[in-house]
Amino acid sequence: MIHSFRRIWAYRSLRELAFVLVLLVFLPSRVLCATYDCLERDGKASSIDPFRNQGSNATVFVFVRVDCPISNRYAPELNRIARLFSPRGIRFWLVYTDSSTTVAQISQHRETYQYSLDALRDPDHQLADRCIVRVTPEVSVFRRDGQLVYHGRIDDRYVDFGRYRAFAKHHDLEDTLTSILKGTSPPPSSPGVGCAISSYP
Amino acid sequence: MKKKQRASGAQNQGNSSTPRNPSVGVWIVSAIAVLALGVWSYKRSSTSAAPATAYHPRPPGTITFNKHIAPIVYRNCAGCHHESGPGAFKLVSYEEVRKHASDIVSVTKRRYMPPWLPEHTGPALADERRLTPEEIGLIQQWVAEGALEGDGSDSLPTPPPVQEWQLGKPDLIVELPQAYTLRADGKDVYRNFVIPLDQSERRYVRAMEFKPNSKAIHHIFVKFDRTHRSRKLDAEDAEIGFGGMSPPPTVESPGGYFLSWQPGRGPTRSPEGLAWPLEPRSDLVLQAHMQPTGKQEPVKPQIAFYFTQTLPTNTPVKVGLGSFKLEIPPGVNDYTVEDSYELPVDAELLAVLPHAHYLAKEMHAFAVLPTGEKKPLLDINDWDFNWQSDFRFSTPVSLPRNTRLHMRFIYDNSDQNLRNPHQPPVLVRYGSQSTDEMAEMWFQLLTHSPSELQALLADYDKRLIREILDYNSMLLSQNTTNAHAHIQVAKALITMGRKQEAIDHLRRGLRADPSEEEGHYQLGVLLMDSDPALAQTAFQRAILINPENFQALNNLGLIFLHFKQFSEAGAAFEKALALSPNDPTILQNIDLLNRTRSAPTP
Repeated sequence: MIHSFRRIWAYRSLRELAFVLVLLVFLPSRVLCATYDCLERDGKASSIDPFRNQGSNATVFVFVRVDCPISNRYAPELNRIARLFSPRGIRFWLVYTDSSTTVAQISQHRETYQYSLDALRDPDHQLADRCIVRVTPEVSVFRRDGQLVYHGRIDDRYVDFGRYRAFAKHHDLEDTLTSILKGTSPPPSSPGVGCAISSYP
Repeated sequence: MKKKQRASGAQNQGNSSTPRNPSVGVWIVSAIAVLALGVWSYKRSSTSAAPATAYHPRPPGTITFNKHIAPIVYRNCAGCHHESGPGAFKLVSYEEVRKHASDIVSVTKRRYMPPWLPEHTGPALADERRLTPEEIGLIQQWVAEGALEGDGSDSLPTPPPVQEWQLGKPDLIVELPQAYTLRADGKDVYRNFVIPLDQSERRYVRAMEFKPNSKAIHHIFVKFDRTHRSRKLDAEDAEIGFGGMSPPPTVESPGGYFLSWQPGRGPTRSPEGLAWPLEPRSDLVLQAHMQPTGKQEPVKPQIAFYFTQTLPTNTPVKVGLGSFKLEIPPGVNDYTVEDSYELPVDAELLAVLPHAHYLAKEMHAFAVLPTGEKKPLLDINDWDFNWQSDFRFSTPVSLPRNTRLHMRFIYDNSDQNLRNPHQPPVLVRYGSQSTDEMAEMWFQLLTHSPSELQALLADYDKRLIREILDYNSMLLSQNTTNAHAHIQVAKALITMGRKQEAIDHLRRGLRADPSEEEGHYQLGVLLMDSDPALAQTAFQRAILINPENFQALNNLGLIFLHFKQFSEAGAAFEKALALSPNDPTILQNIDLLNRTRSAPTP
């Protein structure tokens, strides 16, 4: 009895070991080392892992769509924030999650809205899931140590479709980036308003 | 085991005063109670607030785009959401609709889309853009089940065609000569674009279509200026048009008509027999509300006009209810404005146009018939300035004489109103800036005979004059050098026969602003009999400011005639006639001049 019990236990532990090994090898490479098609500012295309190309202080992912009017309306504000914080060790990425948007369309879109940010494609929504975003435009801010410190709206100008203030009262993205640089607490994550990233609710 | 059961049975029988299990009677009573409760709650639910038109789910997996969803989308959405339309993205193909499925569910459930402010309470409105509960339910179920396309056996309906001009080749196309460039970001922009029209005679318009040619235009009002004031304002700076929500009072809609456009709105057709006059030498003034889109937008809209030779057989009248005396304190979220007007004649109500700025939240128009019955006409429970429009009734609403028309608006000037342009809120008064407020409910009425039309005009005029006097007196109490207010007060006083007070106001207004053409003209009219020399100077000043003021030229001719300066009189009349051909008054005066000239000298 004891002899067969030991054999079973040993077999089970081997299986578990194999399982853990698989997890260690494949899972991180799928999630933690994921690469995305990247379209840089100069038009150069490559495949890149943004978490290996972070800003010295923080990384910001800005989720947009070529055809979302709310997302597009934020282009000048996003460019302004990027210009302000890029020199201070913050890396910005535009992320396009719509699988039907082509590279040519992304290129055209960036030119039309004069975006100074590099772009990533995330058609499977892996990055979107990791960044906990639901709509465009929403942003996610990761500290250098990989911690997600903010996700959600850029500011509170939009409250709902068709309901917006003349001016924003809270500038959440800007405040988050300032807090990182100063070492203070970021504002709480607040959901944005815009076009759903997922086609289905 | 058997022994145990027998023992418990014996125990029960021996202890009937304290039964462990409820008796049969209790079970029966409970069953009846449950049944009664079931019947009661079923009856209650069937007569409760759930509407008879609530959505009844279809069998799972039977809803497809081709068969069920495409017709809804084509009828209600594709009018804007097509290739060159004002919608931000296309909703024509299955893929396009599927891509936005989640958002379509949210916006239709909330009734944000299709955009339509009025509730379903008053008489039916033409071109209503509203989904039925059935349609909203179908969309939700379709998306919840994975947004099936359907197979080829469901023939897809044809999407609405996108045409150059929906009514065919226009008689006249007017275009902004140069594009205006709207900046990429910031607040909404209000701008007035002036386009001189080269029309030398009056034409009657049976239909009009506006093409924004830009996704940045949110709505426009089409108005006309028969003076050159708008042109001058336009020329004041290098930018095209002139800014603000307050064009000069010379900018007006034609007669009793509303002419507006919002995205999704097709051509505006005049009802039968009601073509409106486009006057000669008018400048078209497009009051545009534009919204920055994130990139610079070139704005170069077009308007198509379709004329008719058939003269109108009737003229509608616009009756406006509201208040100029708004004073909304900060923090108040239910400031109410009410006004009413009793019809002196029978009339048909053709359309209504509510207007306010950002603080209004509810708007109601209703009629109280002579019988005392209250008839709702238009209800808006969540006003959105961006979607303002005139609303035409599918069938004109008959209102008998002595019906009282009512309006009631409610404003929210608290910081909870996120559309409040003032954060923190401040006291808000009547005014034409977007940070001021307005309260206007316009009713477009049609009378049944010329005499009734005159009776309505005369009666409404009296009311209007009192309002103008009230309002401008209020403005003068705030600023005594408001030239325009002085002149408006003077005009009101003239109609009331208070000539000397009118002259006094005209003089004060012209001292404050010598370029008020209307002021000089009205002064001339008042002084023509008592002091023709001074009247002559006044008319000449008016003509210097506006050489096309044919009425001033005509009156100047009369003064020259009075002073027997016949050639000067002739010249003035000729100039006036050139500007207003076939004008019977001018022709009569020329005739008078000729007769006076040829009369033997006593």
